[in-house]
Amino acid sequence: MEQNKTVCFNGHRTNRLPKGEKLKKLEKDLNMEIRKAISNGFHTFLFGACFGFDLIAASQVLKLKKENEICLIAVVPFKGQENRWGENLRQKYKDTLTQCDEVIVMHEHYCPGCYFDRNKYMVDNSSLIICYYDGGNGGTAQTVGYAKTKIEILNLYRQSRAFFICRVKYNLSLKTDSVSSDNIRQGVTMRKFIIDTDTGSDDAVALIMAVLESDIDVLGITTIGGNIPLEQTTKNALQTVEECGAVIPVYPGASKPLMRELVTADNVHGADGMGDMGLIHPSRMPEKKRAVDFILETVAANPDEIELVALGPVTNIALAIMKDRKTMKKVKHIWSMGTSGFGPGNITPVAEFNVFVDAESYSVLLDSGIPITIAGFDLCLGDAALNPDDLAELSVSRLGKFIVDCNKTRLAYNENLTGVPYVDLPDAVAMAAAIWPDVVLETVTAHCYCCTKEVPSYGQVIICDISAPFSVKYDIPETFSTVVKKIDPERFKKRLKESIGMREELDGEKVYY
Amino acid sequence: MRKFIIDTDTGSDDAAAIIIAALNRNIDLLGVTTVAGNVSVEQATKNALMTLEVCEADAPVYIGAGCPLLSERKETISVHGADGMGDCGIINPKRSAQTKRAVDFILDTVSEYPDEVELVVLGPATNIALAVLTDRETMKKAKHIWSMGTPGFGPGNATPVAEFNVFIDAEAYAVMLESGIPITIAGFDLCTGKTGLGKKELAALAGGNKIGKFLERATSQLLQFKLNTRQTYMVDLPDALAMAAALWDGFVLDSVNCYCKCCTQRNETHGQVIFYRQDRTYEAVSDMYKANAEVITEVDENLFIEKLIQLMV
Repeated sequence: MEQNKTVCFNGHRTNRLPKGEKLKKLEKDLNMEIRKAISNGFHTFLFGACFGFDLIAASQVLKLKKENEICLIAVVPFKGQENRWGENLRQKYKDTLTQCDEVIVMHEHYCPGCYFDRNKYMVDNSSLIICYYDGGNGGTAQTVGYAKTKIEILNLYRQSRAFFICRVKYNLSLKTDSVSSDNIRQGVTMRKFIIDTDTGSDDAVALIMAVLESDIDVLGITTIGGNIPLEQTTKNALQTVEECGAVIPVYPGASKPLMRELVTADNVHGADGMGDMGLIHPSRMPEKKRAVDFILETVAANPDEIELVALGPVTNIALAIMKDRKTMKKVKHIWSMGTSGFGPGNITPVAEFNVFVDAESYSVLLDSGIPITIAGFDLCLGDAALNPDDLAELSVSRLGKFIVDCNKTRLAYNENLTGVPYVDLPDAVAMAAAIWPDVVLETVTAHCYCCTKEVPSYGQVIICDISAPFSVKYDIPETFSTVVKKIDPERFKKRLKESIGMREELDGEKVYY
Repeated sequence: MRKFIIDTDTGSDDAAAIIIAALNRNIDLLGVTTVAGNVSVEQATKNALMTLEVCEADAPVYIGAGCPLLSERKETISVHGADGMGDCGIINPKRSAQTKRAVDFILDTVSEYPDEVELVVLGPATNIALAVLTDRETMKKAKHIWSMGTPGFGPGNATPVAEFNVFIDAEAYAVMLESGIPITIAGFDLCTGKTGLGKKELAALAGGNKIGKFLERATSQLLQFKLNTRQTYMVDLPDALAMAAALWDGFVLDSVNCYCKCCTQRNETHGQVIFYRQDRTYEAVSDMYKANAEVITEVDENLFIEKLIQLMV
């Protein structure tokens, strides 16, 4: 292979590509650029062999192969990657591969980092990468990041954006941001998230939901001790990110609550917090920077844009507020998995675990004045919990199986306690409230008070609905939170399965990640 | 025959409970003791006397505590009306109350009939607490307490976490819980849509006998309160539910034994009763709490409405 005569392709999977007419335009652009490359002396084309942009690029090369002396090489991350795909896609994949001049398989089996190995191989052996990169996190971001300063990058996303800009003149409802070469945006603004987590089994589901969502940019993950100690939650977060094929920095936070010893829940989640299935072996390391510093710096640099999703005890967030209240006032929104909502407590009759572990911190959060939406533990039970059928449906995809496996201890714990096997996912419900608003049916505006002063009520959050009539004269203080009262459990599960498990495409093909 | 003492702050739903007991041929209603709560103890006494008169029952009435144990009055909204009985001018009893004080009556009666006397506590538990604090050993001989108090497993009505009776005198409720007397609690959560009196039922009362007419008038302000605040044409009768639990077979369908902890600190949790259910485990709580009450979780709503209307038509 001659590097200076080789082009490689890398781009998003189908869910982040345009559809319909815009897709046809992309195919035309690809065709044109490949012709240009051929006329400039390029004759070897490498593609990543995934569905989405890779296969589309490959089919354009095959079209031009009829009249040109070029060769197409598939670079496959691991053998049998197509086994989890739908019938039609698998067929298309096999047809494409049989027409390739060569198929290079990077690994015999899936392993974390196999996608990166493939991408690295392609960039190391080319001098031009034609990509489709929308600026958000993911595998393509990783490849483009690696390719910068090494080889020439041609991003077809930028070209279709020009098409977009023309349209904007006639359609004022579209939002646009100024285009910068480093952070290219779509017509829809990307939301900026920081996720604070004590990554146990249900946190992992929530993390995956956010990473896979195309209009969410997860800027970083901060970890906290909770379900299991800090060191383990950090490893679990790293592993979960790796499972998604994403690169997101993880910043370790406080190892202990503000004023108490750490209480953990390894009997619910497993000693490793992730089902004790040997899933945790991250290849990346956490960042050296402390969680609180990352939070404050990011909020300062992106005023009124950062949304914090708090999935564990909120010690890190409370520390950030106590360290620099003025900066934290610029947080756009906090999405909190915490409190028992309108139901009974789980760790005591009146307290929910996350708040109970560090009620003083939760109190700081509630009094901070930062807009907050609370999803209580009551929302994840009943029909919103995954039953064995749901778990079987999810297990079909690789990420789905990861989620089911890491929740194995939780499933056993629930069955032991209640006789019924189910997996309740409070963090996933809280994340859904943030990223899938159609899952939320009803919210109330309430003044929320966190009890910290006495043992029996410690960790209780009293939700004082401002519209409720009380027979005693009760002055409700004027700091308010939004509390989610009701969700649509069917829609929640459907969205979860579509995001992580199966996904129906426009042309009716089922796609598995 | 079962022997009962009713302790009440006679608002309109207390009246419904008194009616159920007074018309019951199978029990011996030994007396009614009054306490401040919905209204002053003087008004509660008048209301109790009037209710008994309408039922043609001659149980004696004894005046009790005029304020909670720690004397502090909390500002309340009068949901039953200023006279606690609908402000319809229906309160003009001919009889008077006894001169003996309520606490003495309770202690004397429990002494006289050891392990027989059942107390139905429908208002703040001040009188019961005073009796316990005065003579704990005697009060241990009370057979059973039927308490209308706490929000059960639902939200509070006086505050987000507290029910009215307990909130008015949380210290008294705590004393009662720790007394060692067997207690059954009917919480406010039992007042679902199906145990309340709606348009149909209230109309039946208005067109019924003199007792039905009396109760319908007595609950008229409560109805207004419900209409104003919750836009529902319905009257809740939690005290009557507590009485039904005591007297009507088959009314209570399910209950759970709990260790009940009453919060008495003067803060946001004042008057909250935290239930440590014996059928649950709480990871952060060691199992050393012994149950001190049975809390009703399910009742036969149809039976309640049927039997209540029967008495009044």
